[in-house]
Amino acid sequence: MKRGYLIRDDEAVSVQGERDGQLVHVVVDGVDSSFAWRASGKGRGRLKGTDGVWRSVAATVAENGVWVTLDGDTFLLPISRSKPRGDAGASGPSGPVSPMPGTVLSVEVTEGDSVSAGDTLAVVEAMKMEHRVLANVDSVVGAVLVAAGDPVEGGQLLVELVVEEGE
Amino acid sequence: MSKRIERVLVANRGEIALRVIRACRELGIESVAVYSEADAQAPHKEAADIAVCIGPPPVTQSYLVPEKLLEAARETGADAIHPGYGFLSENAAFSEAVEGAGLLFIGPRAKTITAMGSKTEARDKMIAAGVPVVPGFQKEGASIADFEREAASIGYPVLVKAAFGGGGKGMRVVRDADQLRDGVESASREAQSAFGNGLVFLEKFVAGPRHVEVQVVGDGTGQVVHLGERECSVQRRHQKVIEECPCPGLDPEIRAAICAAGVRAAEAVHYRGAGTVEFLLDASGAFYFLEMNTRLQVEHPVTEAVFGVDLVKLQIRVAEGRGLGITQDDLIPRGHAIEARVYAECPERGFMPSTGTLLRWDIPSAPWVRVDSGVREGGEVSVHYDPMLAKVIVWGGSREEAMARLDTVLSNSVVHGVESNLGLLVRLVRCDAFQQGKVHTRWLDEEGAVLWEQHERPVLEGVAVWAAVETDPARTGGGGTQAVHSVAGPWESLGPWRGGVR
Repeated sequence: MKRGYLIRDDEAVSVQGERDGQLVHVVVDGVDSSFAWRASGKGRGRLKGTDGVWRSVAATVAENGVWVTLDGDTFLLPISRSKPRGDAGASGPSGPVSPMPGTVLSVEVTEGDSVSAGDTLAVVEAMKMEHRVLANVDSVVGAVLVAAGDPVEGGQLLVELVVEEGE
Repeated sequence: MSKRIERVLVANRGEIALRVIRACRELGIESVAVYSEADAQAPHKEAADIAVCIGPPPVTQSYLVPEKLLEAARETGADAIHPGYGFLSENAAFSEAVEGAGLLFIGPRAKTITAMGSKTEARDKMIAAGVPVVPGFQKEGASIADFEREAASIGYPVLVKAAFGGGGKGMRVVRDADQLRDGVESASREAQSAFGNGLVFLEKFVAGPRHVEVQVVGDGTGQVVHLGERECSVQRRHQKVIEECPCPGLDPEIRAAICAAGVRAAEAVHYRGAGTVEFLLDASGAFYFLEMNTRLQVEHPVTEAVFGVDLVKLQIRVAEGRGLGITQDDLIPRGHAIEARVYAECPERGFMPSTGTLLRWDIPSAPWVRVDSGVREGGEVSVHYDPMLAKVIVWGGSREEAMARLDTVLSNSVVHGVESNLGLLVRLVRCDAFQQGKVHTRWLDEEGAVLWEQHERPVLEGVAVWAAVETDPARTGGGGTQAVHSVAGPWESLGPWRGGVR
């Protein structure tokens, strides 16, 4: 049994999953489900739900979550092993992300910097306006993911913040 | 007088540039690609025989600058320019400059582009040619009193439209006389700021219209053939999403009449090359001229699939002055074709364009499927250009077969790394209104949200959890640095999931 967290509507919900032969068993936020599973290689598989119909699914694990597709429907679902820190909605789910598609004007921090809640991390220009992306929790900059001039999309993580352990 | 083209400069990018390059290659013609700095690794740049960089990423500094394109043509010794669609394809000054430089423009004459680019002039020409137009009123310098009198005689609701516009800008629906002054003035203001010309005209508002368009090809001397009609009623905010050929459920007599009207429209301007005459078809079967697009359409492949004709090769042949080489009797439709446009956009968030790296790009190939795409896995979808990733075109012996094939292809496609409308397309193809061919041009804007909300996110969450369990994220090419909110370390590497880029 593996346990972790999924960000849903700015809330971290607990998830767990395991496989028993061809049967996959997952629990998402207390909701239990099982499905029969056949891998078909290259990040694709076939899933049989309760209606008995096999359907094609695909998944790609990226740095910021798992991209999944079922019958064309595609989501990027942020999943982590450890519980996201800070207030959900602030530091939790979205973290220091670009508010909308635009261009990074400047990045104000470098890896290893200690930042306090409210410090400016980066400035993004979008829709002819400047948006300051602030730290929402006292933390240490883990990695800077963008540079000045980079185009970014809405919701894209700009900087990783690592909160000291103390759970 | 005819002249063989030896080297074509393709003044475009993306899938249409690739499409033109492919036709050139089949004809033994050399191709020249132009590309911006953002497209240095773009497929169209790599596909052409010669490639020339024409400047920085913004289109106003690259693909939309006639001088840069002409300079590239001169530099590479191109003897013709194919404009594709969009960009400078319907820019009369560009077509004139190309011919002025002694090159062939693979498209209509500049004066045809000008005439058809003006909605009012096009309307006059169509009335003269006996092509039905939407009842309306146009007059330069018309007063509000003139508009009020004419609107009353046309009958409300009426549409106020910019004479030099498109894309829904400078357009107002006016439902009664009280709103007319407001509608005229605001449409005019909007047209002035968007198109530099505030001239507006009135048109009868056609309720629940279908968008039906006729593909024509002319030799430039008055010979014109048609290649049937396409239906493009699945639109969101005037942007086509799904197109098909032929128009489903169209009465054969109306079909014959609409195609004949398309031919008359093209004959009236001695049309040269491939063009499309767009009509609105109302529930009673009456149809009205909307506009003529003096270029290749995005959706031309459905016509090619049904008629077995390569329209780009035909364009080149006509540009060489060798005539059409076919007659109307040679053009026999067979079966049914449907095209779905895959856009990098999020339907859930107002169709906002999505950008990023295409971590995965997998549209399965199959018999009767054609994918025209200008992107590749690992490539960037940038903010600078159109968010269309690909056109998926299927052919079937019947409309039912084509729909089933489209469903199979789309529901087995994978686009990861940027958001896309793929899920919406699948549900569109499956929904009753589309299946029954009963979609009008405002249907998607009105019903699309409902379709989108049918997604099965809970199931996908389960799949995502499973994928995370099965995957070792340390192998995802993330350099070992995991975002705080992504998997902090490898859970386990068990299964077949492939992680990350490449």
